[in-house]
Amino acid sequence: MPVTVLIPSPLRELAGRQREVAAQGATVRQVLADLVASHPGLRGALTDDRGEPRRHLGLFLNDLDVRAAGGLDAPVADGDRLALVPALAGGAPRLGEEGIARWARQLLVPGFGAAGQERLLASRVRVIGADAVAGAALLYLAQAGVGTLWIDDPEAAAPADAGGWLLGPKAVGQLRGEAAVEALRPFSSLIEISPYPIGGVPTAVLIVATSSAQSLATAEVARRTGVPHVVVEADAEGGLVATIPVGAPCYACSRGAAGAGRPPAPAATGLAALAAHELLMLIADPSLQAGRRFELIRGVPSMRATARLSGCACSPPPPASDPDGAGAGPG
Amino acid sequence: MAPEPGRADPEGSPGEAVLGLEAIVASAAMPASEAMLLAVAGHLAGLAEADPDREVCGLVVAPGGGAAEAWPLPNVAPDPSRAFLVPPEALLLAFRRLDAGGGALLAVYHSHLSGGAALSASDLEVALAGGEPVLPGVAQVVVALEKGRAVRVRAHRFRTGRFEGLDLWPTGGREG
Repeated sequence: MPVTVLIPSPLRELAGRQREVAAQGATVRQVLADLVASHPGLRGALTDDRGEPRRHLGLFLNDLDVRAAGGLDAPVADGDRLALVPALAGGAPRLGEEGIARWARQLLVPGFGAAGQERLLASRVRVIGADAVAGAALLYLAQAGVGTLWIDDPEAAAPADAGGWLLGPKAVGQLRGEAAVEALRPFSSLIEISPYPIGGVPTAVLIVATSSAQSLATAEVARRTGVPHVVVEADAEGGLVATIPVGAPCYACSRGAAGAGRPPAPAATGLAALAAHELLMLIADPSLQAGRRFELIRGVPSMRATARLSGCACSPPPPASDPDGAGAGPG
Repeated sequence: MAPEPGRADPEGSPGEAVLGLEAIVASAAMPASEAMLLAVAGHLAGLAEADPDREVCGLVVAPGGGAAEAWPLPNVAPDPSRAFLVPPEALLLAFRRLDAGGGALLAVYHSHLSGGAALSASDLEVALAGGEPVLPGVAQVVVALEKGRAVRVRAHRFRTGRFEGLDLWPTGGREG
């Protein structure tokens, strides 16, 4: 169906200075996809990293807001006119005078500064796990100024959890997630800390799961939803921290052969602090794209870049010019 | 609100603003679009002060051949004291009006009730896509309030891969 797309004046520079362009499709979504394919300069203004329409993008089909006309899957007909309206939105910095005083030292760090702190404050971090290893990371994230901290751990606290940095003996028997929220409450005057709300969409995830299977599963969900994440796997020798920005080799490509057992307290704290630091830098500097892996074995750290395993599902799709995937491998 | 010496009078007549603009352009070789923003900066400060409990927002446009104007737009953000959100239908009408008059969009403006005139993380999230401005050539102007009084108006222009600040009011100057 040929549709006329009306380009607003501020976006015409991105569309060859045209007021109107023709695009094809049976639905609004298909018309948008065709428009972006034929005018790639508009891609950033209209769609997000996942190819979905940007938040608050206005779309009017024959002057009717498409939200009232069936949304993106609303059908279009020959000769319809689709008007685009870019989003205009924003807000005040969350970093007020109290925040500047609280995080003064971080604000001085080159490459971090007020912009990095603003991003932390605007972030929503889901932390999976609240055991003795995760406890130090939670403290680190809360004190660094992550704006919204969601703690996701429905297990009951065991005596071993009470020996960490966060949970005390009183927490034993309580749900770990709830006990962690309570323990972190003194740090929550400038940030929000709560149990993970079902359906909450995080901007970054820290995974300190109690099993490799859970780590793999939750890391895969984060990868598929385009959320940067850091995974900690601890064992009696120490453990590893895998840093996985969007588009980097996935956790299945990055992980090592974790052993059994729990690390000694200093090693747990070291892993947690390293993991928290990695996550904070991923949030503060969105340009970081390289995945890396740290190992801590009997107190000796090492680091290396991660590499994608051959044939892993996290491999990027074949180029658009090769729609049949003929070049992807032996046919 | 008293105008600063050498600045366009925020409450002044269009004639006075144009005179100030000509002097600025002649003396500092300032790009015309920045000079036009300078001419309306005091007016933007006044708009923000007039509504000190919510972020004000709108467009700065240059209608065909005329001096710059501020076009206020509604803010429908759930918490307008901390954010702004322009309803797309209002923006659609504004763009049509702009097209009908043969004008150009110079800037998008909004106020911060506290926190200064820098672009916030949420401002940048909307203004940038993949490191490039969503509205090429359009400045982002922020009016900073403190306790209900305008203290600074700053234009942010995208140059060489990032937004650069230019203080428009009350004292002009570039920020790196």
